Amino acid sequence: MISITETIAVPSPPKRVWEVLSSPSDVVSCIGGAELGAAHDDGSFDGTLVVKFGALRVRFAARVTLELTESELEGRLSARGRDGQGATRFSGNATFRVAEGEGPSDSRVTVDGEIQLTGKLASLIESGAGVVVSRMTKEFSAELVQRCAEPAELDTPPTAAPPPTGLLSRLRAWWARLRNVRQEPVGGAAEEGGRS
Amino acid sequence: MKAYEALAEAFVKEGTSDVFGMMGDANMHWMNALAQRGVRLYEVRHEGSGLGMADGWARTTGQPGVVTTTSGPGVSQLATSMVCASRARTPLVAFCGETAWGDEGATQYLDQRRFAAAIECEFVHLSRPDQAEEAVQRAFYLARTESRPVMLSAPMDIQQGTVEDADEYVPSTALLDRPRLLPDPSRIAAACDIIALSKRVVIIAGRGARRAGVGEQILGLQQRTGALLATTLQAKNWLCDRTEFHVGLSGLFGSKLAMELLQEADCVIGVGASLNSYTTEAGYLYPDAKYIQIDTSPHLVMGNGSVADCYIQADAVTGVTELDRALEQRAVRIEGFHTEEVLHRLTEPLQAPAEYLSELGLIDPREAIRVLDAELPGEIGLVLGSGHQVDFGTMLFQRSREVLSNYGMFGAIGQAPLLAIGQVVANGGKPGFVVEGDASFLMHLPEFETACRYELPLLVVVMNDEGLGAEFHKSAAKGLDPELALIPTPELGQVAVALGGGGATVRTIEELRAALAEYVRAPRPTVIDIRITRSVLSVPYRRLQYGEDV
Repeated sequence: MISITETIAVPSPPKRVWEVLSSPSDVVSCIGGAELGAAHDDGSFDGTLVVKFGALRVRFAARVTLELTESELEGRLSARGRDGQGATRFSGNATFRVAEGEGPSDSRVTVDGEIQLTGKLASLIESGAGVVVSRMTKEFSAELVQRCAEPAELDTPPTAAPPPTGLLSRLRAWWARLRNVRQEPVGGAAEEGGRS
Repeated sequence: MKAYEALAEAFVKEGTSDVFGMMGDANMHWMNALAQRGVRLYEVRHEGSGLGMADGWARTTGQPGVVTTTSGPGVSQLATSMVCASRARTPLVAFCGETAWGDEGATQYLDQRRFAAAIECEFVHLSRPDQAEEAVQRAFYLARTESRPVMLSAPMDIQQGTVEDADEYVPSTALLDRPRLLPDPSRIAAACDIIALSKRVVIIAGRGARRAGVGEQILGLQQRTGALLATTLQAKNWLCDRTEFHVGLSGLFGSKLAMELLQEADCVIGVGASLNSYTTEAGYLYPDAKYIQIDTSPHLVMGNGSVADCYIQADAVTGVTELDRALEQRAVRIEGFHTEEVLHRLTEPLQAPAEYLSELGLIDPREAIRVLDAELPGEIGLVLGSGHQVDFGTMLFQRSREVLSNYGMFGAIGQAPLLAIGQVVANGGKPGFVVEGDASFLMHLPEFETACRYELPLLVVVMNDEGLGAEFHKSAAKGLDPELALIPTPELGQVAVALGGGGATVRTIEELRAALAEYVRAPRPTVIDIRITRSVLSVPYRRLQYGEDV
């Protein structure tokens, strides 16, 4: 089992950080080699991730669930899947929380989680798996900081824009609908829908 | 005639010329009978070591090796080497004495049948003197046909029984009638279909291909399909001097470039290679490839847990020849990997690193391997053990030479020098060298004296980091105390001299070159104790323990 315990200092306000972390497409954009797939009726969605273990590139496919508690700025991500060979299964979960950082415009994100690998790959990568996950976590942290620093809504279509057609856009729209159903929005519905 | 004489006679007629082992009450008569018949006996210091030597002898000749022990404690010493030979699928017969038939109260009694089952070998019991020949014939038949070790267990009282003069002994080879395995034309056609649609073909040649002597045919198929040629560990460096598009090893010990190129393959053709998990990294090395496999086995499951997309049961020569002929008929010719760009990239791994680590009194193991490869002529065969320090040689030896690797055969340290002694005997006293770690060599140190006693020109290269190298580095990776894995060693060069051979402990490249020159000039049993730094981590460990893309 690989444990993840990470505290990320982000020089952006908690609201902005939460915007990014509560958006699957934004989160995915912070993970190198990750792609979003189809969304499912139960709120879960498909995702793929290519991971380099040493010189080997391994493609994983997973069903991912993201549960958000906006009032607490807390989320729980869980994923379960297997690699393209079908030889290795994995399950993982992580809880993340966004809190105020040292300054008024800073945040602190804590991530606690674990990943379980079973199958042929586990014996091929030994201790290296933990190192790879640690490296990916650091890369994610750096990307998250960068992403949060970007102005929000740069690519937001106007309210009266035509319905989204691309996969990513459709997912964003779907996720916005889902969040509006599930949670009390922080801002107005139009703003929330536009952001997600 | 006594039964032990009939047994010895039958062994001779099975082709036994060299027997390794240790004498005791329950096998001494048989050994005397063998000596009288001109069989060379190699008295060793430990029965398990003798089995390791017989294993090396068999892997070199392709014929069943023979080891002998007395009853009970002599047999129990075989355990580790026997499992190792079994995992290596070595044909071997262990002639083991046994306490008197039915005397379970005897001091040296052991339920040898159960023990044989536990250490993964076949078991043939001699229960009556008149079955002596039949027992030998069956033991050798099993060893040859199943390619595995067989324990022939003979109670000492039964050995002393009388055998009436029998008819002429029929050796097990007379019972073997192996037809040529011709490939099924429909499978050849299916393989052609796959290849014709492929753009990046890789041919993996294994131990079976090398033994079958299918090199020319493989090179022809490679040319037609624009394939990269890779080998398994057991065929390391085979044909590397015959094609520019040789990528080296397929698997964990492959170079970074090999890893990158092989993952691009859309078709893998395995020849005489089981395509096990080591070779294919459990399939992850060839994520998008279709597999064509040519082998003599009736069934094979590859290391990714699947059967090949097209399995061709055939002998290697016929299978590859037919496949190439069928492709020619269809006018299939693929550029594949045979481009200037790939060729340029393939020349890079042959370059030495920009600089080696310099540490006072210690040698960079990578530099040591480069010097060994350069200074020891290609005619001198190589045996590779296992463990962290051997990783350097397993990856970095470049010269085309006979290589026998014990990696993955039960993972027991200490076996390689034994295999190497058996190999030198099998090669009629031709010089050979083995690369091992210090803990591995010291485990069976007394057998260097055996090599000296029989004047076997074996060079033992000890990559000495004064510790259990694998555990040292794994401890560091796992947050444990690496110091616990350190074990100081005496000057092994001097130890070798004391045991009757040549020896040197070297701490500089100049000393290493001088010691090698002395061995090459007059090969004799020699130990070169190379003091290496622990500061260089092998590439496989960097991949496994730190996930590095190297």
